[in-house]
Amino acid sequence: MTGTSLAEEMALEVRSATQYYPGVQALTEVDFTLRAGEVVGLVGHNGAGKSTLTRIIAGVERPVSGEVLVAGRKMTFASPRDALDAGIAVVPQQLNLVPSMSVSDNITLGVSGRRRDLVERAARVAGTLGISDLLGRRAGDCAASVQRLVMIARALLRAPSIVLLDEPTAALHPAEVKRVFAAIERMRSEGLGVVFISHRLEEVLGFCSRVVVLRHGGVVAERETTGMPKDELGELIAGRKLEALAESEVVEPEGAPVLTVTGLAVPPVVGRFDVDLRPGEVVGLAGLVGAGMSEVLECLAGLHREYKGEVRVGDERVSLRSRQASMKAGIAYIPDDRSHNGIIGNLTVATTATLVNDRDYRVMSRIPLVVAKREQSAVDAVLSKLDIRPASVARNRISTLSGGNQQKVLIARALMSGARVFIINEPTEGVDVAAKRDIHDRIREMAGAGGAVLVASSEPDELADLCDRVLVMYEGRIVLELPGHEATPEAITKACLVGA
Amino acid sequence: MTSQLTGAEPGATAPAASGHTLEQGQDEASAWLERQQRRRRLLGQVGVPVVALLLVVVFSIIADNFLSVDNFQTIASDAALPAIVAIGLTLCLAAGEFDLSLSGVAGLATVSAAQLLSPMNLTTISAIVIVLGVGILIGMANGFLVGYLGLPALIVTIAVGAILNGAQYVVTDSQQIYGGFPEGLVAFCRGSVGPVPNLALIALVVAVLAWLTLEHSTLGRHVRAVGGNPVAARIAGINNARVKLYVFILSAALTTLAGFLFAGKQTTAYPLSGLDVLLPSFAACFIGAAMFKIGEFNVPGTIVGVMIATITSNGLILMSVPAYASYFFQGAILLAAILFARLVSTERSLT
Repeated sequence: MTGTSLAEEMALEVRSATQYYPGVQALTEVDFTLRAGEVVGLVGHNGAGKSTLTRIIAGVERPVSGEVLVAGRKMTFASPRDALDAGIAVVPQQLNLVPSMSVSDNITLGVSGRRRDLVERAARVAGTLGISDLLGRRAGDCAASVQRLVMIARALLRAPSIVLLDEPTAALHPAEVKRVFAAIERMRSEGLGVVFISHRLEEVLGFCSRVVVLRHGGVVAERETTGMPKDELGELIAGRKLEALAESEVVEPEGAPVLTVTGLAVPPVVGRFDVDLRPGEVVGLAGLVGAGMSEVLECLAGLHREYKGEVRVGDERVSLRSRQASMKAGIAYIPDDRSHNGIIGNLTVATTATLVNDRDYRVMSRIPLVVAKREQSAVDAVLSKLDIRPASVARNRISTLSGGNQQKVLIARALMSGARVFIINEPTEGVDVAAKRDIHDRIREMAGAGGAVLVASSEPDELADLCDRVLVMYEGRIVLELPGHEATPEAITKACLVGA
Repeated sequence: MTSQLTGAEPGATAPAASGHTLEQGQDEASAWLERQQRRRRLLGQVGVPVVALLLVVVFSIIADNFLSVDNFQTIASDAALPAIVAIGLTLCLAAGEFDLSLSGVAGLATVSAAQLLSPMNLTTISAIVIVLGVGILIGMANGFLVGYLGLPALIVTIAVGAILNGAQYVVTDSQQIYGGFPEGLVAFCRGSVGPVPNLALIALVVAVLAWLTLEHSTLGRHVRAVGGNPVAARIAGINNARVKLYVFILSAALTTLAGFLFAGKQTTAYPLSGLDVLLPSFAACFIGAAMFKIGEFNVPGTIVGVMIATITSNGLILMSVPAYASYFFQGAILLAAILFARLVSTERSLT
């Protein structure tokens, strides 16, 4: 071990933290240090391990192996409470204020003590953040930047020595960002250690003295930020060297489009979206969280009533006022966040697959009674093509299947619906490597039979493997189209981060 | 509905992965989970029937006259109408919604039937058509307000129930109606085929149809999907609002049927004296959700639940326990039912 002088200097130290989740290795022997009075950037694309590391530091979860030291002392956090007691405060990305309560009450929320003392302490913290004059205002009436500062004030009220800021500037205007940075600067000057987690590379480079880059659950770089160009950081996040992006030339595939989207707007997120899907094509959608991919896909699935623009399936103009209308137009949809949006735990596998499409398995097509045997053998037949193991699971409850198999059942449902257009959001979220390959093969097959696929993924590698071309979205618009040979993971990542 | 019913957290509480490799940790966790689930499921399969059997044994010993053909006929006849109501409620709960207007619906059906049959002298057929029509309209109102306008079912159905309680005074002009019912109807409601009361036969037919509907029909699959995960159901392409409309109509229609038959059985009616159905029906449904299909409302389970409630009150009456004591038991049974349902819930998974 190193000498005590060095250890004392470290406000926070994480030593070879490793974490697994079912099917995923989230962190592999990650080291991380933070000195008092230092602002360190933590960057990496989705799934790189930032959140896992944050959760370990914040005491939300315990690593499988490795340790966390605060001011040189080894800590064991059983809960976020313990981490807070050790002086670690986290400002989550999600604003969780009570809109109907005053700013002052929001700052002291969850802290017990005499009301007068609390009000005084809140006023003191608010003073350092420059929001004193807003203490009596309803939190819900404050601007987004003020709300963010209220969240920071809440963390500072507990007099932490270490503050983790998760995407503190997301959804803020440049002018508002300045107020947040003034607060960070203040914390730094008062000797606090600050971890700044962000996708905004300019901000990371501008305000952190050091940056730690995570990729695939490991630390791939740790650099001083002085003089570091933005592109270099982008390359570190994406991995490998980036070649300059070539001028994209659009190769027109054969055949009339299966799906034509013109001038699609989904307020307030998507400004304009246009795409033609040709028969046999798999088109990818890439972008950061909040860039509008999910909204585009959900809109095509008929889940956003309020949209503008024209959507044609084949030659026919279709209405997307409801999921049923979209389905009738021949659009199948496989949602993201499977456990929330896809899986109905009390149904069997067979019922899940044929839920709204049971006509072929009825006693008689006019009598709406489903013969379980008929339905199960049909679903098992489709699932066997998806290489689902163990075989013949159609009569089991869907909740007993692994994540990868559940996803295959949702794919089977899309295949059995007779749709021509397949809309897929995060096709392999929480799915193991083998199932991932199967699922990719099946998606290619969906397109093979004269259909077309539009698929969004937060994994650039996946899009690069799977797609004939990739559209990159940034702040609600398509900013770049990458034809297949140029759609490398590095190019996709860079375009997502810097907006082409 | 399952998760509201059991209150089980969606997150997994698998043991921390202690193994050193990923696969080991996963295998251990899923094996642990499976053992847990199997144990709970077994408890659920065995638990409720054992309670029912115990009740029969205990009452046979301590209550005279309990163990007789006559008494079992009484039990079957007493259980029939609450069973019809509880079956309707089962459909509603399976879709994840509450119907607290049951007492009001049943009461209104009883006094309307009496009013139409006795003072107004209508035929049984025309009376039943009118009363059922009104019941369906009430169900449509509930279903529209909850399904299409998205109002909370708890409040909507309490409000509708209160209105219907008031309506019972209007229909009867606050008078008691006594006698003067068509003889055929009365004979039917009190008669039996062999040893089986006619009303029990009707309940049986309703139960079979409802079971077919809930477990095997397109509507029933949609009902269970909406109750299981309304977000995923909508994304799958189900019209959630329409499904809710249907279950409220079915619930009100079945309750109306029971209320109508109650009039024929009692041959008397006055406001707020209809079938006492609300609490027993909920108790029956929640007991039912703790057996057969664990964690899910299901028709066979509900029937067993109704039998448990009826046997209990029958035994208590035979033991000459004061009437108010049955309230204690009703409440206690309902509490025990949801506790048990929570206990045997297997609504936990790794993913």
